[in-house]
Amino acid sequence: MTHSTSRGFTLVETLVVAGLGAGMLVTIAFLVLQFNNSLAYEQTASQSSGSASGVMREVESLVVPASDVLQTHTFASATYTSTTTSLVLQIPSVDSSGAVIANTYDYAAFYATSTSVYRLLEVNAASKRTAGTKLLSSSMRTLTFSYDNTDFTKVTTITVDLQTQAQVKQAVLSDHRREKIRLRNF
Amino acid sequence: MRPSRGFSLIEVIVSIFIMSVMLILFQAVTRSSVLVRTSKNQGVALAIARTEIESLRAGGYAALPASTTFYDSLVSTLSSSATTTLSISSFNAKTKQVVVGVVWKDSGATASSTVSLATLITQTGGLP
Repeated sequence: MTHSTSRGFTLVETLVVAGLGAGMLVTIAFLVLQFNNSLAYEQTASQSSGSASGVMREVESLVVPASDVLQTHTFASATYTSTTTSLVLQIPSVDSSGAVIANTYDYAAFYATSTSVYRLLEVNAASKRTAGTKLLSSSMRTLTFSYDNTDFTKVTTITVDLQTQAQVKQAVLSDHRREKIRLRNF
Repeated sequence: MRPSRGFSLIEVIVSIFIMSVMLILFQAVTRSSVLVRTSKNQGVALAIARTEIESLRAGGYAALPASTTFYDSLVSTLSSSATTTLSISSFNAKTKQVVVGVVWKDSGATASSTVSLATLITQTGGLP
């Protein structure tokens, strides 16, 4: 059954619809692309700054209770030395109720290999701290420890300077943290 | 057949809906990037404030400065107009309250952000 109303589209109508459709498609594609880009950017940015914060928190949590910076200490796996890029700490052990156990110590080392920062913790059998090696960040650029005294037995303040770096497409995201931490059990 | 009948209400509503969805999407993207930047800077500002509080505590009661600002080399990485505040007030006869703040404004944010930490420093005792 044919009416006079079903007359099909005119050329102009078709062109307008095609034009609008194309415009819409381009806009949507642009939005999706933009969205993906900024998502990747934001993810990397928060990861980079998150890992920087994580390293600082971990260093702080062990430097504050530490009693001494050790020039060198032999862990079960390897020997670590305190330098500008690594840090060895002697920390009084604490029991499960949080009390310090006299004359027993836990030992911690912070060190970096290429772009990774690790924390190695070796604990006394009575200590409540959890031993082990932990990867703190895998986007490190520079990690520097500086001490207020060249004699490690007299060090009371450690300045930790950390720069992390991550790459998203062409953009390079970097984070810079610096904290001066005091050995409260010195 | 009615020749030029204009748009129907449904058509107008649908087109407005599509446009607003796109606008909202676009805004969400730009807003979240500001959010990420703010949270990153918050971490940096917190570290700056902590370092200052730690150094004031280590210095002790007698060495508390009179100035209302402090220096940290990382402040300028927050934004070019970032500033620091330091206020020291008497808490009681032998105790002072120290409030350390970092104020900065992220590009794209409407208001400036602040991170502030407070502590008490006593005349006797305390940490070395």
